[in-house]
Amino acid sequence: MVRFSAALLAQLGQALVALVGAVGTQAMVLAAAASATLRGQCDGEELRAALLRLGLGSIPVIVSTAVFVGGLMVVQSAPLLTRFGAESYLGWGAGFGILREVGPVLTGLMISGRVGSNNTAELGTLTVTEQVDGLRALAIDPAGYLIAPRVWAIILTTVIGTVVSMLVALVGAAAVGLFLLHVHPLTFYNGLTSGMLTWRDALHGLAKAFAFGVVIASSSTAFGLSASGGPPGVGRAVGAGVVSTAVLIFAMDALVSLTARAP
Amino acid sequence: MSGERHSLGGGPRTSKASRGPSAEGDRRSLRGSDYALALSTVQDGDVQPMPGFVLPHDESRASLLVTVRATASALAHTEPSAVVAQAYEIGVRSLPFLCLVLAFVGGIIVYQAGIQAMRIVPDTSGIGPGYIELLVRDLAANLTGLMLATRVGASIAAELGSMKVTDQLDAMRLCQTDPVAHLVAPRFLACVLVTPILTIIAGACALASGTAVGAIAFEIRPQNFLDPRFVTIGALVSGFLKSVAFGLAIPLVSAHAGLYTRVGSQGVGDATTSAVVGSSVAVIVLGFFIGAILHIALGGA
Repeated sequence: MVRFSAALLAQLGQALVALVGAVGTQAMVLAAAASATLRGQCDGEELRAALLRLGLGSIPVIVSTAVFVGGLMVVQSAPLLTRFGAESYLGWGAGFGILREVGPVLTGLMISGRVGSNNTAELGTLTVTEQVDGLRALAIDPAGYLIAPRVWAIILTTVIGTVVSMLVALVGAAAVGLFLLHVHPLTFYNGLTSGMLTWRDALHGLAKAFAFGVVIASSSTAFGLSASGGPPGVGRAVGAGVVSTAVLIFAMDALVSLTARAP
Repeated sequence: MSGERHSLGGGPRTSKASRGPSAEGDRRSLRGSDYALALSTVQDGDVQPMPGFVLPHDESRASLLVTVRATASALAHTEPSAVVAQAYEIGVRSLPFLCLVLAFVGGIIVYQAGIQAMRIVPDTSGIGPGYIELLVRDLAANLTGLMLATRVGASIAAELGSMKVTDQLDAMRLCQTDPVAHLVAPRFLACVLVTPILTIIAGACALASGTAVGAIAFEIRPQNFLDPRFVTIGALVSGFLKSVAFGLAIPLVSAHAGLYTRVGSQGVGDATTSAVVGSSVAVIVLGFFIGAILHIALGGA
């Protein structure tokens, strides 16, 4: 019994040390990105390339997910709405979910899957092939050349991607509402703009998107830079990075939801 | 003939008898094009393939359908002990992560729903039953699916991809073991078996945290909150069907990404990315279609 609890305690301690280590690494990544940007060392070329590669490249995934997220919101609310005959509330219900909760979270998860893991894979490859050390040997600061451009590109991609996905999801919800529940798009629009939803709801979603962007950027960069052990190590880093980003996204979601003042 | 039947790709070639075993031929006999030839000969019906040895090494023929067919025909050759090991790996080791996420989401949703309900009518009696209905019909299955797509999809693709780039899959083929039967099929079976169970456990976590948030933030008594009056048979069927569909889709999409990892230092990372994205999209799309089809089939009830 004593031995068992000692082992348990050791495991708990290891998990705690790992957690503190992960938080510290991510804070270091963000600090490196911020200080490189403040010193004016954020490489513009790299930022543009990262935005094109990560941002434009993930638009198909974001848009296709958003259409189905919109549809999902309608399908989910369909039984409740038909039960109470409250079709005029469809726009409000779908808009509420898309703007405040499900839209930002699902977009964040998809961007984490697409952009975050891509970033981890690239940085991990650079790390295990010792190209990061090569940069240092050439007196190029990895913080300004690798970290800062990627962090900014991911934050921008997440915020802009969430705006795009909110708009697409609303259109998708209106379309599915029309075909599945025969709710006229105008009814949908009226429900959306009836005054129960305000710009604060959209802002709430955007605040979440920003928080998710920061978390995706820091966590995917940190896991990429600490990859070790050849190509398999890169794969492990990507897997671990995606999982911990998902946990962080939900933690941030709870944090933003609970700290935002109830209107 | 029966002696040659179990040789690697060489069986059908020597049966053509026109080509002698040259050095070049011996080297080539281990390559994918010959395997494809073996497959085509098999389809002609005169030579049997090695048991479960069904996935073409020929990368140009790669498609999800080929992987699905290979996995389906390898199921009979699966070792039960491997399935149990994978069920532990996929099921038990994902459980803390799943429970944490679902508990977070459950709490947030009840909190948001409570705020909205207060905005319109200050009546919190509908929150609990509505939340339970949503949880049973959609939320538990969808969120568990998404999280498994992330956790299990990434790990399957990373494992198989690492084996692919370090030539371990080819080594298995050389040892006359089928990578699909030994690696993919156990993961597939384990995921199919474990996903509905995980959905129920994770859903229970979401229910507990939702009840707690309702009690703390809106002073809803748990006995009023835990009221399953909106849960219909249709909702139960929908939730169950979704979890089974996700359990089928996630391992297949991820294993496909892992099996066809490109060789190179970025290959495994790319395979993991496409496994996570592919299986997440599969979960969202399948969730939408199952929900829509059931809505139409049950006549809007």
